[in-house]
Amino acid sequence: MFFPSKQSLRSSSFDKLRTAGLKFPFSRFIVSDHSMEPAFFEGDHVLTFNWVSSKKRDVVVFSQNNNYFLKRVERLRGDLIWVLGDNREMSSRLASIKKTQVIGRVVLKY
Amino acid sequence: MLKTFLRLIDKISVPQTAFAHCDIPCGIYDPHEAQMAAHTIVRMVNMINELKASSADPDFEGRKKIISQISRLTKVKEEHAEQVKHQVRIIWGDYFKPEHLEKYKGLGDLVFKILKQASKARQEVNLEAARQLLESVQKFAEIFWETKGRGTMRVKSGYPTEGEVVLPK
Repeated sequence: MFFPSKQSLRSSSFDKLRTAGLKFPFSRFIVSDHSMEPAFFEGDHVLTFNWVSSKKRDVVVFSQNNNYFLKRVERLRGDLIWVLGDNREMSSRLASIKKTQVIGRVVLKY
Repeated sequence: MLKTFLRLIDKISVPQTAFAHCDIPCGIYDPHEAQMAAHTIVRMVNMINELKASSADPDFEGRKKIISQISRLTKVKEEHAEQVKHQVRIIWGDYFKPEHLEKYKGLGDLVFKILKQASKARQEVNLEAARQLLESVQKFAEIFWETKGRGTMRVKSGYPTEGEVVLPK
């Protein structure tokens, strides 16, 4: 099993790999903020598996504007995925992202 | 065991942060939910119009049943009209900038129209009003995506309303 270092997750290196069509099999993230409660709380550590397609109700990490976001997949259509937070008090609207923005599916909270 | 191992790795090499927020301005806006809500209003009006009483003069049980059905459908219609207004207000207030208003002269009027049409859709069981609201929301979606430099296409929604949704290309 291969776990990337912090440096390897930094966008510059990551983008090079993505451009080359390569992805790390796993990535690690720390959750910030509250829009995925009660499934994920601030400070939770999550592991994503990156060699799998997303499907409805998966929790995924995706990149946008050089940041990473944790959301649940609500619908898929073509190359687009609509994501939403579980906590509707904080996350009340769907957002669309491209499938290529998805880093991976959350497979473990630890 | 695995979790302990991962925590140990995280102490050596701290993972990246994955933000779980959305309503803090983060550049993530999408008019899709407003369109879905507008479709729902059309659907609710259709369903209310299709309701039939058991007879011209139903008994107490028959009245109870149809009142219950109308109440449920009306509640969903009301909620989704509010949802249209909520979603459009967020994009209007948080996303659109003065230069957008300069370029799209009718945008302000369109938003005003949507808010009024959504109110009308709440107040009435009016299929034409619901369809007009949907059309306005679709125009709003087209302008939104155009400001992002994305062309749009109208595709069949696949919803029971048989209408279309505007999607970015």
